[in-house]
Amino acid sequence: MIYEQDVFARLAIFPKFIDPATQVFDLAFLLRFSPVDQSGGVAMSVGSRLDLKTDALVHAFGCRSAANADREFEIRKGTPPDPETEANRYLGFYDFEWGAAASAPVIHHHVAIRFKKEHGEMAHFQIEMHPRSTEKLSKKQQRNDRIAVRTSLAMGLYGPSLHICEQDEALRPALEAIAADLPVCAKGREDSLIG
Amino acid sequence: MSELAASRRDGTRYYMLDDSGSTIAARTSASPEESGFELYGRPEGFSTFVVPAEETSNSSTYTCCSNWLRSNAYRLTLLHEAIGKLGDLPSEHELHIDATTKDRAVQFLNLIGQDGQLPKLFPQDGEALVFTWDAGARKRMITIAGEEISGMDIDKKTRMRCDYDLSFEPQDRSVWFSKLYPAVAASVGTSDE
Repeated sequence: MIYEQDVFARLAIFPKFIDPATQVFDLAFLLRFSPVDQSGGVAMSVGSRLDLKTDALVHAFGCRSAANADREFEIRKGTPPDPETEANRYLGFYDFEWGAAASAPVIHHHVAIRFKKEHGEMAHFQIEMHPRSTEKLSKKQQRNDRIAVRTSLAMGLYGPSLHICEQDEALRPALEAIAADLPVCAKGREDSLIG
Repeated sequence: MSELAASRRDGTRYYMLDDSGSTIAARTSASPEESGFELYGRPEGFSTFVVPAEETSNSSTYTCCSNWLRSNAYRLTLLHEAIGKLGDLPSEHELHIDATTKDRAVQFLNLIGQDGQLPKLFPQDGEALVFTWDAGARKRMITIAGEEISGMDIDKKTRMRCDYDLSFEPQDRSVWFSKLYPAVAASVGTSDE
């Protein structure tokens, strides 16, 4: 059972090319859904803070996730990701309570979170959006609901906790510069601090 | 008096400003000298300033330009650069925006101009660009997807959501723009947060 107060981490993974424009990107930029099936379902990966109890554990999870995403890219495309525009750079993470996504004002979808082991990661969960009916939704109906979830969730993010992965050490100055622009958000209550 | 400012970090983009802080010209080059702007020796008529590329990651080196870096002129430049970068990505990239969306987004930014409350943005599903504003109790979004444009407000506390159908047609545009956009500008004092 997952409660609205349960805390999850969303990894801040950026391609390097967005520098120096981070301050023009909304935090919802971090919250991207990918298609999971043909029926219009989409998912967003997150890490459970019940498993990842310390920031260091989330950072290790983040570095593995970025490396896995690069490997998957190479398998899919046959070439390694472009270091500037395609390679995944983990910069840190934001926490949120599941309620921030669960309370998103959606019209045509339901929003759920579920455990989905991926690359052997037991902390890997995903937020999923599925159409409420089998009636085909217009692109706009799909899009607006996704925007509503991304925006609502962005309002509930707090952090970040920053980190540069070993594999990105050579890019440290550039990545730290992007990370320095990430908005710092605090949480209003103390009862769910972890780690 | 004009001022020359380097971009904040990469040191490869140089801007010539007039005394109001507006950008006169921006050039990309490997070094200040190669930018073609007159930089060294304080030539007459210019209050010149250069941030050496190797020092631009250090915040203490650009205190000279901090007003400008907070200015709408600079943020507008960054918004245009960001839209350009997203539009330049290959079409299969998840952050790509298509040419029509990019053109319409630039058109929308031009409507706002430098004087308005500037938005932040995020790309959506490889097919749309969303502009966002913190407008007091609300978050306001205007989404551009090709020729389509629509608006959405979400109340930060109650999560009440309202959608608006908008249009780029000039006769419609003046109606929604005058209703929606000033509301953002009026309800927020500073640019964000």
